Amino acid sequence: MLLIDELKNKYRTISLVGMVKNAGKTTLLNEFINQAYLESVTLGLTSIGYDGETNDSVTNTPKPYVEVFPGTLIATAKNLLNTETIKYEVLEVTDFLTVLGPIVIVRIRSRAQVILIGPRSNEGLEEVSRMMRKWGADLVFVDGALDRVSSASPALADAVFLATGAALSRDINQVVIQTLHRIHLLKLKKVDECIEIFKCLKDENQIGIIDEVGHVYKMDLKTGINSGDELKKHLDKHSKFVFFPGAVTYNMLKDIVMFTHGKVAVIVSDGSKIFIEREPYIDLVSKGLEIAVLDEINLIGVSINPVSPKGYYFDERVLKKKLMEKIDDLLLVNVYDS
Amino acid sequence: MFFKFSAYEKLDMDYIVDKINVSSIYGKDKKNNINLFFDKASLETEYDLMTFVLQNLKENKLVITKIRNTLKEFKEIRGTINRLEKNEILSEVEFFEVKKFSFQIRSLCALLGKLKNLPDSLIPKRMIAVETLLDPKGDKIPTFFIYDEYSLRLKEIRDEITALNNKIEVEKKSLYHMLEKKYEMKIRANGEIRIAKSNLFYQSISQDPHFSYQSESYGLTVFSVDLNHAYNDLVKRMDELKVEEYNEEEEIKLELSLKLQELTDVFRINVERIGNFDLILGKASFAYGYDLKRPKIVETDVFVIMGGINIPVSDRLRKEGLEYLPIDIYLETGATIITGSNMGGKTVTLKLIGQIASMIQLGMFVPAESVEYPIRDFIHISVGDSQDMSLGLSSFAGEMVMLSEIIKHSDQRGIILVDELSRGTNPQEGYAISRSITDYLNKSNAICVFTSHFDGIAKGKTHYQVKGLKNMNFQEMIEGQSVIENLHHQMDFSLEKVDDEQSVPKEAIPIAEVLGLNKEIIMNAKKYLKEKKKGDDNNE
Repeated sequence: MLLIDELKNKYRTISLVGMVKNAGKTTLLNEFINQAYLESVTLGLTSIGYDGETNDSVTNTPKPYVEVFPGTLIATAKNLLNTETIKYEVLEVTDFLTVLGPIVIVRIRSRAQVILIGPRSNEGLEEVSRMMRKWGADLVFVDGALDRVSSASPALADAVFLATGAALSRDINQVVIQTLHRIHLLKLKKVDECIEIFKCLKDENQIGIIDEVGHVYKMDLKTGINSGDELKKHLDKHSKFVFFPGAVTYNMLKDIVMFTHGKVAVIVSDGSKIFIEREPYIDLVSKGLEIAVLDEINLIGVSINPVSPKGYYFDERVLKKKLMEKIDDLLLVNVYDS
Repeated sequence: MFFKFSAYEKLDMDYIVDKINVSSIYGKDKKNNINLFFDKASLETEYDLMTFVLQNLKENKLVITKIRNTLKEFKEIRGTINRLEKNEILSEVEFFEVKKFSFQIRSLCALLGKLKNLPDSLIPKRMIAVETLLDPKGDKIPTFFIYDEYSLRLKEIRDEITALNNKIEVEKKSLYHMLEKKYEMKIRANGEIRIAKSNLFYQSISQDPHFSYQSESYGLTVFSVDLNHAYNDLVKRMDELKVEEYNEEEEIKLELSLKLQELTDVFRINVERIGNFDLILGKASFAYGYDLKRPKIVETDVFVIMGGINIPVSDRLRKEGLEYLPIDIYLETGATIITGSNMGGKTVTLKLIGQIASMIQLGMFVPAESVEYPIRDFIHISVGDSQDMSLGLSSFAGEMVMLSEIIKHSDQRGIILVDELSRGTNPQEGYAISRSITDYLNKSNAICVFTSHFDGIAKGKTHYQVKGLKNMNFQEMIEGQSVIENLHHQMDFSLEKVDDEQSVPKEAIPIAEVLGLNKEIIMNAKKYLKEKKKGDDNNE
């Protein structure tokens, strides 16, 4: 039995994210596609969309081709479906628009190379995943991302795989350390109080300060990010939580931790929204930073690419061993075995 | 132009028209470009349609809900229709959209068939020709691809591709098997192998024509199985077939596009009918929700409102827990003057008159117990708000500029509504101008209504007065209620027709007092009022 069978039985949507470019996310996706083909599992595939500027033409797209088999369902931008090379049955035209036309859902009819560009929002991803399941997908894979731009979050998926690899650093120990740090962030625990309040703030995209008795002071996202002073003005000894709906950086948290001596816990919407390197993060934790998430990410596995596009590579067995000693609760997908 | 000087905005018609809920994009278009009615016959036809739909809204709720859901699903098809008319060839996605549209029309027609008494003009035309064309297998699944059924040749090509694919797969498996055995390694699903240069077989593999070199890093080299070498003929034939398939598909797309081109009329008609039905459904639902009534369209020049309600104001009052009191008023061509207390609802009534007229001209039912309405050519309202000042003039100058323009049209059958005529200038001249303007318009063909605080301008005209605070008991302020709530409760908003020379009630100072104006100011105001009265009496 291949891994895909187990995944199919346990999850409906799986998101793949990469530590950096060339961490091997697409190779990982292709591996699952191959397994699904061998086991006759019908896949639905999509990706989170990119903002217009990073992707204004097909040739400029940062996205590599994905090889798909007949019967696979995909959700991608209409203009990426070139009928000369891709044979497909149109199942749905959605209302989600990209610069390359609306997102359409099609069933692939012959082996083909496709580019996936899906919806940009969480709602969009949920909707196209639902549609693909409706049309028969046993399991949906979302080619996800860990970056500040995308609003769609891997927290939405039932399970998440992380692709990491040599592209991260020339130093194998750095690769391990940085990957472990990222895993720690992705697996941050869920807050267990005031959940409804945080959900509201997230939907309204507002920063909020919550005090002991549950009173909320709301702040526009822009104001909060640009002015730590503004935030400090409203923090007092009764404040209990600060909630950030979007990306969180070192500078945003530094002020809070210094000012409140760590008495105020920071809540972020999920672990993929934290963009703080390991050293500054450890510094903040040592000064009392308490951090938790609203939506927990179910990270279940990693894949390791031992080769960097810059030309160097690590001994795969060493890298695997160094990493897996620390994270024995995660699956390791062998994508690069020689 | 029916609405003069932004009368639409000033009457809060945006708020009212927004109450019309449409479900489809075509209905939205119709709502955004909502039609005005200027002849009785077509207005009555519209009202008849709304009456049918309204009856169904009450009796067939479930079907109506289903109809709404179906309407919501319609996508914009007009771009595709334009492309067909320009002789362009549609893409797979567009064929899908056209097919889906025809299927949706089928469901909509089935649902509309369940409604009672619905006239044919509202029901879209079935698109059986389109359904058949794009569903050649007749399996009624709303998806699309270039089906084998479109051409025998296409089917042959595809069958050959399938057979060839199977053959290649079988051959590939045995080739992989052979190579795996020979070099004692596993070939990955994508046909790649990665081996170290130190590997025993490195040399032989790099020279084996079954493998092609792909890439390498310091220690590892990637080779992939080269099918071209072993099965050159098969692969070549496959490439040929794919080109043939593509060409055949393009041919079919051209044929389908040409056939659809002949059917574009019915698409246009249906887009129109979906929009019309959706708008009528929206107007009828609004009528149902707000208990709007069908007005009686009359040929005379009499405009009668019984129990009329200003919707934006009554909505707001309801939110504040207050009740709106319906207004009765009888209007004819010539000038009607409304006087009465401050806060007595004069402006609200003036807008109500304009709203009811506008709603009728826009083909809607009205918020009143009953209305008799003579169709009008235009409506003007001056309410002295900032919109008037956008002309770059003072409020008085703005009012005069607009009035002089409107008076040019006073021989037409219009409606002219003016709130506090000449409020922006001194009382003596204001009175003189007001009286003169109303005298002039009293002879016009327009139905003119003025609110005013000036004594004596109603002479010779119809004069209504807000009953106001006549029975106000200032000692009986209800505790726990705000001053505004108290005033609202004690104010009698209804209008009574009075002698044309009845003087304007003097309730401004008591109201200001209740509203909490400084006691000293109130006392002095009362003193000045007495002095002024004495002076006026002496002059007479």
